[in-house]
Amino acid sequence: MKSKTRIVAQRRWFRQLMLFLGMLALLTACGGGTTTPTSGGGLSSGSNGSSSNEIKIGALATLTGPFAALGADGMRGVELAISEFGGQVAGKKITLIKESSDATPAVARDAARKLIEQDNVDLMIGPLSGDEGLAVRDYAKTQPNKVFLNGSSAAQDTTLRNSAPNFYRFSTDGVQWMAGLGTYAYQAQGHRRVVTVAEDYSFPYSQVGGFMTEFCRVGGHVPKKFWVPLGTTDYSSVVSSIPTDIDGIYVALGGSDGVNFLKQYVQFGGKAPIIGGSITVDQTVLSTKGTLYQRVLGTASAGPIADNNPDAAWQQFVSAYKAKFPDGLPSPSLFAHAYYINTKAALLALQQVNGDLSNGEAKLKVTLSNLQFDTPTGPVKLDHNRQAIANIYVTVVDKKSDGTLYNKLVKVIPNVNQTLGVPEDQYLAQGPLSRDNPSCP
Amino acid sequence: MSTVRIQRIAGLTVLIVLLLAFPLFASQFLVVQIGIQSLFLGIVALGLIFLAGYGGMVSLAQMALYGVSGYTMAIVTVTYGLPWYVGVIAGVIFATLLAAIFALISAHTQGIYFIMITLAEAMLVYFYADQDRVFTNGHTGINGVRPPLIGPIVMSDPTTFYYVTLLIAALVYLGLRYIGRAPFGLALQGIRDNAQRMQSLGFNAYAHRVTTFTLAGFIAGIGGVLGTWYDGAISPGSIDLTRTINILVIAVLGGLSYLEGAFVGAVFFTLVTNFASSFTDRFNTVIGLAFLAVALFFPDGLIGLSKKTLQIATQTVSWRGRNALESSKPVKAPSASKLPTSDTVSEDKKLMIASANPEEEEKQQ
Repeated sequence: MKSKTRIVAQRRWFRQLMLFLGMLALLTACGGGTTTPTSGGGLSSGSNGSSSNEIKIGALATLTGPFAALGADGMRGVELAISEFGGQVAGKKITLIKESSDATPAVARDAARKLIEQDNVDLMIGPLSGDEGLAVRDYAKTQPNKVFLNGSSAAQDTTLRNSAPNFYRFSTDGVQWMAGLGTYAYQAQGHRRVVTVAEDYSFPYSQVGGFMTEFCRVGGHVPKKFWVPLGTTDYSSVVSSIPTDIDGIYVALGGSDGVNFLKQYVQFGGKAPIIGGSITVDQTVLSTKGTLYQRVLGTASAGPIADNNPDAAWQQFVSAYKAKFPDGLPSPSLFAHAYYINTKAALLALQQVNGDLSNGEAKLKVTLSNLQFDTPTGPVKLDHNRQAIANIYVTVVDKKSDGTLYNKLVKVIPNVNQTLGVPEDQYLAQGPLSRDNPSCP
Repeated sequence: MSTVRIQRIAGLTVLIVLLLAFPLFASQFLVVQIGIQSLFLGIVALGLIFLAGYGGMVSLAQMALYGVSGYTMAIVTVTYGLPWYVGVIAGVIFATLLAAIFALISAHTQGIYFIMITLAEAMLVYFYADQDRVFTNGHTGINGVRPPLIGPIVMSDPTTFYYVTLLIAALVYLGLRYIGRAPFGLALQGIRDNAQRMQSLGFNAYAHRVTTFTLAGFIAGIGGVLGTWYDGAISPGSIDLTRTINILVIAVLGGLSYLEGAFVGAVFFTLVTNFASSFTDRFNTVIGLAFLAVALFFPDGLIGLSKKTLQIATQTVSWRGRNALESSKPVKAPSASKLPTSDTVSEDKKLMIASANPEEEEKQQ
């Protein structure tokens, strides 16, 4: 009796399956799409703009995951720029829509898609990290009628190779951030042989590549490069295989990775001085005490900002930041800086076109391409890949009168372009930066 | 009995029409980010629910197998430039093979040990993908995967992609439903509840478990192909611990006792992740609380909850309510001395798969 019911049930399900498949066939037959295939990866879909008396700006940053604190500071940069314009541009109210990712490319692209297609923003700013930037750039190609501005993502290939015509980056990339450091290490600090220790992904490739491009050009040698996975805590195998006949170690490790490496290197008895990447010598490293203190002193690094830049424009930016965000960081991070500059570029361009977003935002695109303006860190303009040409700052860790450590500005490298002065075709011919490129052992 | 059947057919027809007509009334964003994403996540979760519900194996390796398939397809089509079907076949086959190997390792264990071994397998795949440069391109992964042209079918068109994914999801669902009721599925449920008894009856418990895990790997492989097309790229971030847990959350939210739960859970999950962020920055907390509530109060997940609500609703309007309530109670486990027939085996379950099916109600009326 019971098994009979089961057979009946199966028959019914078979009938329902047939019905289902039949209807499916019917609907796919008549509902077939006519959209053309897209040039970028993944899926795309069209969308329409917002109403005419407001400008919708989408901002994408990592508000969850390991970079959450950095993403929050990026958002502060966006808000700071908007408040500078009094919350409106060309007589239209600015509506800011925030979206979060967790530093993975897939989530960043989904978040960008939500901003563009669901929230119907007129333009978006973001994302924060390198691989996310590549993903959003690819998505931008499927939305040619919208304008995308970078947040703080700094992978070089986002704009140098396969760039999207509607993706603009008014912030500098990880290679540019190293401008001047190789020369400074060679000439001012007298380093000839340097090994590198860096995390094994695209951003540190850019940093090591940028450092080596200059360092090798002036005559330095890098006999060995160490690549460690993100979040490594045990550096003993690296530390024990660092050669002794070197003048310095270039360390491009972020956050706690950097501190962990330094501690273990000093414990091991390592003597070589440190040269830092753009995010290596941060507040965590600067607040160290004890044996590390002396070792950190004198560490050179370079980046898009210098905390103690005496320039009036920078000081004004810092005090505006502090006034608006009393609970923010002691000083705006390079993430706040990059998001601020990209947002400001968008707003200045919107002002120039008087909020005209017709015809696939054509006017805005032209205006952005030709836009030049003064930022807290000097003038910025774009190259033909829509990549910023701007100032870079070389700093050295020094101590204040009360003994606390800080990054002292030692040199400003003006108008750094994406290829660090190498002609573009020659630079491109060297191939993308990777573990093995460049090389000067 | 007949009224129940009519109700069911009517309900099913409405559901099918809704699913088919979804792209006609919903925005493209909803079709893409809710529709397609729920479907391919649902497919992966379906494999997990089958593993957990029918086989008693809670696997954390499903997203890793998804990744194996996605990576293989991406490498074959992007790195080597071979046609899409080579990529799809290679991806699904490789995921299935690896699932078989994983199964051979882990199917001997049960409970928490099984979870830990599958977690280790998942992390193995993740760290390989993250650290290998030759094939998987490290942290960046492989970009530029494009949904193909399958004859006249333009897969890069969202609506077409939706229908193809819907069709595949339906086929996987119906296939698993069939297998669950076939002798293999019944034996599997018997093994889940009492492996020793089934062994003594002549069933090879280990072989059943390995086969089931391999099947779930095949399904994860299908999900991997669809998901990688959808993302247009694959990177370690697509298969990290968060994504691994997400699939488990989807399965538990939907309900581990019901295959349909996979899709209910996936829709709920994608809706919350996409729209809770508009209201709060802490959308992960929302998901976490929902998960906690489901795990504590509704062990059958959202689908169990909705069935229960429906039942209570019909109970209050129908004078036969008392009768219906009694029939839906879990069937009492037979005493150990009683020889299990295939039917008592299927009823004697902690997870109540068969007793939750309406057929059981009909049977007793």
